[in-house]
Amino acid sequence: MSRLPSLAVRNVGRNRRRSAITGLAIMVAVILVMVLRGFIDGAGALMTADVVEGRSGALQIHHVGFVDNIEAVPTRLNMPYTPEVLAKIRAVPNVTGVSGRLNFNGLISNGRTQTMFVGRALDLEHEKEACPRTNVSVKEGGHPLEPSDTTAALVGYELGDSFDLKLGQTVSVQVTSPGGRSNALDLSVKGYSTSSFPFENKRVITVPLATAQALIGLEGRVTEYGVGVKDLSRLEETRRALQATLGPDYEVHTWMELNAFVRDVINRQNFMMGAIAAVLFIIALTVIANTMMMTVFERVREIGTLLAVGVRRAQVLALFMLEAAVLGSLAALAGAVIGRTALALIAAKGIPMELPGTSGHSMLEPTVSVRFVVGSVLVACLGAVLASAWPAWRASRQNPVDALRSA
Amino acid sequence: MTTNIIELKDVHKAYELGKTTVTALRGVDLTVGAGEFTVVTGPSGSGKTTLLNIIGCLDRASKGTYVLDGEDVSSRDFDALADVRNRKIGFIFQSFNLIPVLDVAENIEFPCAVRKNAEKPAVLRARVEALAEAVGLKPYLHHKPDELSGGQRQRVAIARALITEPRLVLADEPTANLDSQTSEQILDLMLALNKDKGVTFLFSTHDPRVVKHAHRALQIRDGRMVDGPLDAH
Repeated sequence: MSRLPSLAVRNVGRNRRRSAITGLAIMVAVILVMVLRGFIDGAGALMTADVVEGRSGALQIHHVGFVDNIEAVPTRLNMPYTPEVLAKIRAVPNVTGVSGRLNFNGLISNGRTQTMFVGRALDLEHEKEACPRTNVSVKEGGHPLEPSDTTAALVGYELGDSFDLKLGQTVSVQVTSPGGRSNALDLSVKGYSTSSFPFENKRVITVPLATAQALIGLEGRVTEYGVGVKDLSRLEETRRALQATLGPDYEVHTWMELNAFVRDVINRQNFMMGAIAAVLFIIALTVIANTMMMTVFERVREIGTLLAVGVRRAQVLALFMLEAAVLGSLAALAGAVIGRTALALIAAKGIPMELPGTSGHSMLEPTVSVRFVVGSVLVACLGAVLASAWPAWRASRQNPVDALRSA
Repeated sequence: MTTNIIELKDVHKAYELGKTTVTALRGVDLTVGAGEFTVVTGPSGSGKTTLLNIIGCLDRASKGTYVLDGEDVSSRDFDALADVRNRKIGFIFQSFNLIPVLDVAENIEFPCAVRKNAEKPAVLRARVEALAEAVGLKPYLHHKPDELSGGQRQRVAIARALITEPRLVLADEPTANLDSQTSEQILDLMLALNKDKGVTFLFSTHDPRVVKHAHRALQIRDGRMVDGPLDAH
């Protein structure tokens, strides 16, 4: 048996041009799949990072019933925002920081017209603990909010346009407290926020947490905690630990559970990627099957000789499948090296992009995991072996008398 | 210990070609003793090749029994026959049938190297070198077949046939593709191996020089062994 692997390797080099063309097909398929995967994973990572580090935090904590509540923003389901609670959350392993938020809604008026808005109140001193990259994008001319701001707001730029608001102009916001009392406050427009989510441009205003707490009458309370984590791969474990620490009055959700849009985009991309990869591999495997079939036809007499000297049918089958495996693995390895190098070069430069579901311009750095690279190579090798199965079986079933007689 | 290597009794072989049945052998009885140097002659289509294929365990008789070296191989399955071929029979083909990607040494050792329990490479290589020496190929051990002449290639084929130390060597027109001088050398080599190593040789040939050197010449016609003077072909 020991002679067969070496014979298989040499046979691959026998018709160099044909082996090169076949290898090229496999190599190109692996490169394309890897580059495609790299871009999709890179885009997915961008979207994930944008949501996790720049928007919601990896985990969010609400009062039980908040997320499934029929009201859009049920402020009555609020939670204490005290150093004790914060310390409890920070003490959970893998948690890097926590910040409180108040989500509310009400009416905004410029004195002539009014409309509904969705308010987002942030603890500007701690928000970066939960979302290190948080930075509400502000249109040119405006300024971001500071922790010292008490009566300033950022208004979604389309909302501002529809109200014909000018920077520094005062708008009146009116909200209803959880007890049913109506409160109003004048806020000056410090800037116009921009987002790739159209809803945020049309409906959202952003204010400091203390301002919203005073307006709604929820001093010392929030409706949401954003939690940052060190290791995203341990997210579920951290979620369970937080839930156990906080008890049944709270509910802890992962970013994926609360950002169905982003999750769906990533899932759709993965599905498309799978379909394209399957088509590419099928093309490459068809080329292998064709090559192996030609090889068998050309070597009929040699197969006869092998059988005559006592090589068993199973060994002939193994020989041809081994040849396909050698060709497949060499080409797949070359494809993996070229694909990974190409991705590394592209990633080093980065591609500026604005992706759906992200909060602004980002740098796409395509990347693939070692696991995916190894998986691609294995799939290519296994596919090559499977594609050669029929030609190899044909070879092994040759009648030695007929095979020896062939020209 | 058996003294007969080949014992064929009432061997028939028929092929189905569509709706037609072609009978190639019609009750062949043949005995070849150990150490014989035998040739089988006969016109084209007489059943010579079919007979050799059955004797070589490449094909099976439709009827009759075949005992090879004391073993009844008439009804063995394909893999069992492959083992028989590997252990007991060496083949020398008209077109040499060497494996082009292997060098001389690798071609010679190939039948032993593909065995389940192959010898240690060093032991096998020593035997290969001894055989190469015997057939005059020692300086060419690392040459590929396409770097050798026709006569040298046939010597490689002879060495390959002998590496398994077979009880029987079958040669199908071994000199047909060689010039007369090389044919003589190859024939002398096989005669010497037959004499020195006691290997049984069975040839199919049209070459009168081969027939002249044979211990026994058999003639087959219309699928039957016949007595009488050999046809000149």
